[in-house]
Amino acid sequence: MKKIIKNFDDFKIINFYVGNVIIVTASMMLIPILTSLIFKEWSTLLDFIISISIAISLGIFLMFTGRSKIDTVKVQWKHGLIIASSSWLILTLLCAVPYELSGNTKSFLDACFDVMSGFTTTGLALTQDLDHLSLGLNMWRHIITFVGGQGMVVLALSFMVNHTLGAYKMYVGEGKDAELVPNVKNTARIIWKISIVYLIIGTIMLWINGMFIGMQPVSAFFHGLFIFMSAWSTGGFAPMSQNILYYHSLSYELLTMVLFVIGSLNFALHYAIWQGNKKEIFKNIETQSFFITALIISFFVALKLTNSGVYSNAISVFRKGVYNVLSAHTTTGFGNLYARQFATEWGDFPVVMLIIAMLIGGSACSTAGGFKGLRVGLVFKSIVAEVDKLLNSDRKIRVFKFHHIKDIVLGDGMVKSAYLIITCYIILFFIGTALGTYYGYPVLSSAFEAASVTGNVGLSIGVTAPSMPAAMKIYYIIAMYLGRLEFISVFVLIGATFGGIKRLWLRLLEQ
Amino acid sequence: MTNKRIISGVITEISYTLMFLFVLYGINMILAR
Repeated sequence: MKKIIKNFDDFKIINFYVGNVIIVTASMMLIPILTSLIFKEWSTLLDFIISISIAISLGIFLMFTGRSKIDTVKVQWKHGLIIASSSWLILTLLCAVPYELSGNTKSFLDACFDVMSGFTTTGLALTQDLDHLSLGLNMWRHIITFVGGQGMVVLALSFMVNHTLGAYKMYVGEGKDAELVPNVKNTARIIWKISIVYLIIGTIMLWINGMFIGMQPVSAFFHGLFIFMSAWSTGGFAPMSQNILYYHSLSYELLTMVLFVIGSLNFALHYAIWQGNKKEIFKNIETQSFFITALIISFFVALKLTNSGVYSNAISVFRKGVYNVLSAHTTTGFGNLYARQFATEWGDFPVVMLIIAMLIGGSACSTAGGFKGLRVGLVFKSIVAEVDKLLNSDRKIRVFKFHHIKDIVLGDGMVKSAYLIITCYIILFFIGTALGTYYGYPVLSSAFEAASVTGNVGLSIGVTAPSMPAAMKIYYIIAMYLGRLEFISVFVLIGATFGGIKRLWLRLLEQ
Repeated sequence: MTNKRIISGVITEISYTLMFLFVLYGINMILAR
């Protein structure tokens, strides 16, 4: 009996915080509501009023059911991890409602796919007729990706005044672990401060640039805002179906490249630089790792594209080759090529290079996905340490260090954790590839798309389409979700769910 | 964080990123010859 009461206590405490995250995130729908109101999009306005009502009602209900236990039950690790992972799942369903009501998606599954793609900053889209989407819904798509980049739990923590004792456990559950300052609530606020500063600067830069390339001021502003939100969150959504190709502008491409490269950096690194520690950018293991891998991959892609005569001059190779490599490596997914051009024009080698770039990804505790530069750096350091140990077995044991904001001793625990997460990513990638081939897609295309969803990238070779099998859509949703939350919190949620079902089943059998 | 520090930080990040992009473009220039 005692155990049953304890299980209900767990459930209530999780409900309270999940409700909190839902209310804060759903409140973001006020922005598309305001947009629809200003631009007189009455149908869209109604869609969002219905959606926000459903979401806020559920949020209040969940908070109400859990509020009695908030001061008596301490938030444990399992609670924090389940709060983060279940919030993402429930919010995916709730935030898909405006898509479904708009009629721009073939099914509710497609709407959920787009929302998960947005929250995880992947950028693959199944929404149809993108070029004629209402401004309100377009705003919502990009807000989803912007909020998802920073994290919904991080957003909720920024607004949370009370009950922040277990905040760090929820923060870790969302795939972030860097504490910029000792208080996790203030860490969340700093993350948002950095993003808002760049939101203002980036939008103004893209707005001015948009007007220079011939767009109307209002249109240039919204395009600038949307593209910034996507670039900073390494998302990949764009207001037009042709993505970045729509603008046919070198300056637009250059600006987005700068923004998504900066967006893929660790928030701890931003904070260190903003604190005046400018040398950190050269010393940090993640920037070193990113610089080396991006340089090598860009070099080989450029070499192949130049030698095979796909592009005739350096500027074309840079605009098409390097742009897409960096877009893949930072897990952004902005593209300035038609999807099938990767397969039909580029050929196999550059596509394989892009797959590697997508899997490596950006920085830990950033908006990017993939293995993350930190883990790649740790694996490389551990190999060097292992070789050194074998070569100098008769001498005293050397201590290996790496630099990430401060000098850190390379411990077995962190190396093991890095290998574990990378292994999970690889398994997810291989299952995705196998599933694609099962449904008749070519191996390379399947691998490309699987890497894109696993690494939360968003580049497509043409597999992702409303017509693809439902099983692949569901798998891609799961892969995006697992990839973004970095497995552990989702595994805890699955474990707790099955554990709960098993206990309930046994109790029913006893009766 | 003061405003001066923030502006300085943003300028540092943008200029280093641009430098990195120019390095990549330089490689393309060499390869294209």
